[in-house]
Amino acid sequence: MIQCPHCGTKNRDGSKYCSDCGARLVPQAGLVCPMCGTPNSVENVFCSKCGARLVPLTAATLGDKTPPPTPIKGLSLPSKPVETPPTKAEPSAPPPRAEPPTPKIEPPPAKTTDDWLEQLRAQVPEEQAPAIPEAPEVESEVPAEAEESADWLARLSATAPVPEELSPAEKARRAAESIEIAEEDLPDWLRTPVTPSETESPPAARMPDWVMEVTPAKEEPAVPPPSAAEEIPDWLKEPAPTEAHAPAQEAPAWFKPLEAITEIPPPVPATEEEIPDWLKPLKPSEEELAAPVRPQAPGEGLLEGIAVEKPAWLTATPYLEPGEEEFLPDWLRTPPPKPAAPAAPTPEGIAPEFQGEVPEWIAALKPVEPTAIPQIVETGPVEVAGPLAGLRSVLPLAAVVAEPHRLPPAPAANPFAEQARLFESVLATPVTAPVARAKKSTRREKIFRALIYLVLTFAIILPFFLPDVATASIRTFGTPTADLYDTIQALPADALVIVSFDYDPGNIGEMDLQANALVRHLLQRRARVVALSTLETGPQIAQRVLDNAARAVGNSAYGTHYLNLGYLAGQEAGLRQLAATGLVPTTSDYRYRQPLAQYPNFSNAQNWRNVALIVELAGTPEALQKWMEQVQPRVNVKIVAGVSAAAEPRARAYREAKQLSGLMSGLMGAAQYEILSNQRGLAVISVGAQSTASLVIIALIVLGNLVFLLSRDRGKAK
Amino acid sequence: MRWLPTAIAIAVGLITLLDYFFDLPLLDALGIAFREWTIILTAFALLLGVINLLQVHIGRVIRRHEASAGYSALVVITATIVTGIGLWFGLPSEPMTWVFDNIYTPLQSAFFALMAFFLATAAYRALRARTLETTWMLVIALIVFVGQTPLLGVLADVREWVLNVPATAGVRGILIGVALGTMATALRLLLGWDRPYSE
Repeated sequence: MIQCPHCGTKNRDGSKYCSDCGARLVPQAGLVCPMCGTPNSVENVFCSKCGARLVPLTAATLGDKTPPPTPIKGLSLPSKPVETPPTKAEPSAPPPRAEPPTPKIEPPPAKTTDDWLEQLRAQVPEEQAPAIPEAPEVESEVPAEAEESADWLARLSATAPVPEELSPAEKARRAAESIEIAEEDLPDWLRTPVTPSETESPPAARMPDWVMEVTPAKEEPAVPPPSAAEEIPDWLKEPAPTEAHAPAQEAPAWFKPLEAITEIPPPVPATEEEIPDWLKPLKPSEEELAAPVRPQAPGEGLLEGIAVEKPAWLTATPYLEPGEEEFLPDWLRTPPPKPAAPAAPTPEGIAPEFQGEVPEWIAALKPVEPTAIPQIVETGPVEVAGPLAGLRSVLPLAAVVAEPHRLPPAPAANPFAEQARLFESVLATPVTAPVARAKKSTRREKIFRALIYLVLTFAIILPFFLPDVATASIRTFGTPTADLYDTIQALPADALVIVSFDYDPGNIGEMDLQANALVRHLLQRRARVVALSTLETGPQIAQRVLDNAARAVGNSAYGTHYLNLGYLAGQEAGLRQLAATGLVPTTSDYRYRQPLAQYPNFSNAQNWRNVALIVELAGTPEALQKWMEQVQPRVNVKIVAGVSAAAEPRARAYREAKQLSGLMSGLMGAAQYEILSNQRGLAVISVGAQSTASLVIIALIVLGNLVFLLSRDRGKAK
Repeated sequence: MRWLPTAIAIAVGLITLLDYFFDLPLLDALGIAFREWTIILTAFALLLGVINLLQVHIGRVIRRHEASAGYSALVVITATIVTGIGLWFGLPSEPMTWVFDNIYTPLQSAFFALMAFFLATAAYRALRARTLETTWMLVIALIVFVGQTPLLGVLADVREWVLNVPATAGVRGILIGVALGTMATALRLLLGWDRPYSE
């Protein structure tokens, strides 16, 4: 668990922000990787997670003469290396640009052109390091330096806070505490206290070059002369000099070598014989040494020479939380002031004065100019949302990431990949359904079709005006319809007959004629007719047929001579249930919604033994089949059927098997029944129309075959 | 628990089948109860059919880009009106009878009657003696047509023979085939080989 330092809430391990107050749980006491956001130690050059570079390469190779300084976090010593470069640069302060460049002592070219050479020199063994300047010379230079620095020190005194006056013991204690806290973060050369001795090499020998140049001899007191001390303001008199002037025996032993570093004396020019050859060209002239020293802010000149090439992520001011700036390395903390433009290097990158001296093997070590980073910045994306909107490349991206890229095609390891691609391509191909192009009718065909319809219409209408012509030869004897008529004719008086109206209005043209003739005959025989239907539209049809027949016969009343029980639900299951249970007394009728028991003439209908006949009027063969399969085998009751002409073949099968006691089919069966029951009506007239229409159709069939045969023979002849 | 639906289906099927063959009071009672449940489920199936019909046509009306949206709108409006009349006046009522006798019945009868004209043109085009099979079909069609025409009663007996012998034989074959298929399907259901109710 991680306890929030702000609110005390306990958070899960690995949490970066507090779940309660949102405060950052992982202190950014180091460098935050710009690529993945992982906090890294200040000593890391590359991110420990993603490997991204944390310290910009350009700053180390182009801007600074010194090797990349090791940022020391938490070390409250005045000898922070990153803050001391101005001291080193003081003797080589930029001279007035108007003066002609002196080939020996022009610092800027040496700083900008041969920094890589400086790095190479920094790798020179310590025994080959240049000699340390002598102390007396330092002492002679300090008063003048102090006098010249009085003005800018006075300005600083007006703005700088007055340090608290502390006793020497307190100062030593605080310094020790600060060092103890940050000791683990110190590099090796600072972590282990070095006791100066005659046999060991001086600590300065393990320092960077700039430290070696400015480090005075250990026996030399770095005490400013009294004249200079008098001109220094009070706030400068107390803190650092007191600490620096503390007796050696009062300070810890490990602190002694650091004293020489903390008290950085002004550079002392070495004698001609002490200056190595490679430094002689860098020696400043007398005029340059006499020039006033300009105060230089920390970090100034660090990025000198690369300002025009600095990437945007260096120039843009990143957003930092309050207090986070102190965790940044110094080179990122304060934007350095824009330095003067350095002298342009030669095309080869080597100063002209060194071109003849640099051997080829050293020139080969010259680092390549980093040109990729500016390109990355140019192509970096512009933030379009959030607090970074409008900024480009705040989070630096590599060019390969910023640019749109495509994944390489996956290797065809799957043996079915090719088939899958083929299948997908087939699926992606738009399929056009084969449209059956309607054959465009010619004018002759249209005329011929209209002629057929006209002739057929005339044939249908004609029998209505000449009924006897077509019906004179209707045969009734020996037909299934005659068997049906005989069955009904044989019914006793008051026989209970169940009539099922299983046809819809589409078959009314022929089925209503059958139903009318049959129900009229039943009512004439004084049978008690119970109507029902397995179709939803059947009860309405049944009610109409019953009412018409009752009106035609007369002396027949609903509930007394006929009853409509309506729709029988369940299809086969309903019929099977009817066969098993009979007409249930609780079944309500269709017209008045009264239970069957309320009608005395039909109260015994629940027993199949009281049912004399079942009449099935089926418009489809399936309706008849249900009755024949579910009811006929279960009840010992005669069944007769009137079916449409389309259902006749199926009905004839049951008729031939004697499952049906009688059968009438189609319009012809209705006409036959009308003739048999001596009630000629619409069925007989309709049969005449059907007969003439059949003749017309026969004629058309013959004509069509003749035309077909003639055209085929004509084609063969051609 | 997948065996439970299968066991229930097999048990109900066997009870219903045994009730058909044996007249036992217990089987009769169970068979009656099962059939009552079936009738209720069938009624709900009819209700679901009506709901599905309305869903389909209302969807077509909402998606106006379809060409049949107008007809679908007519179906929905008509169904709503007829249902409203039936619920308000009751099914055996004068308004419902008038709608049935004067709208529904004439429309469906007229639609069915148009078959005569299509049959006439089809007979002219289709019934041609191209091959031996079509020639036989043409001859039989002519016999049936002529036989049912009172004006040409000479072929009435031939027609009766055609309908009673060859046609009945064919129909019986079809019925026997349907019966065998039904038995096979019933056996697969009763043995649990087909479980459409659990899929």
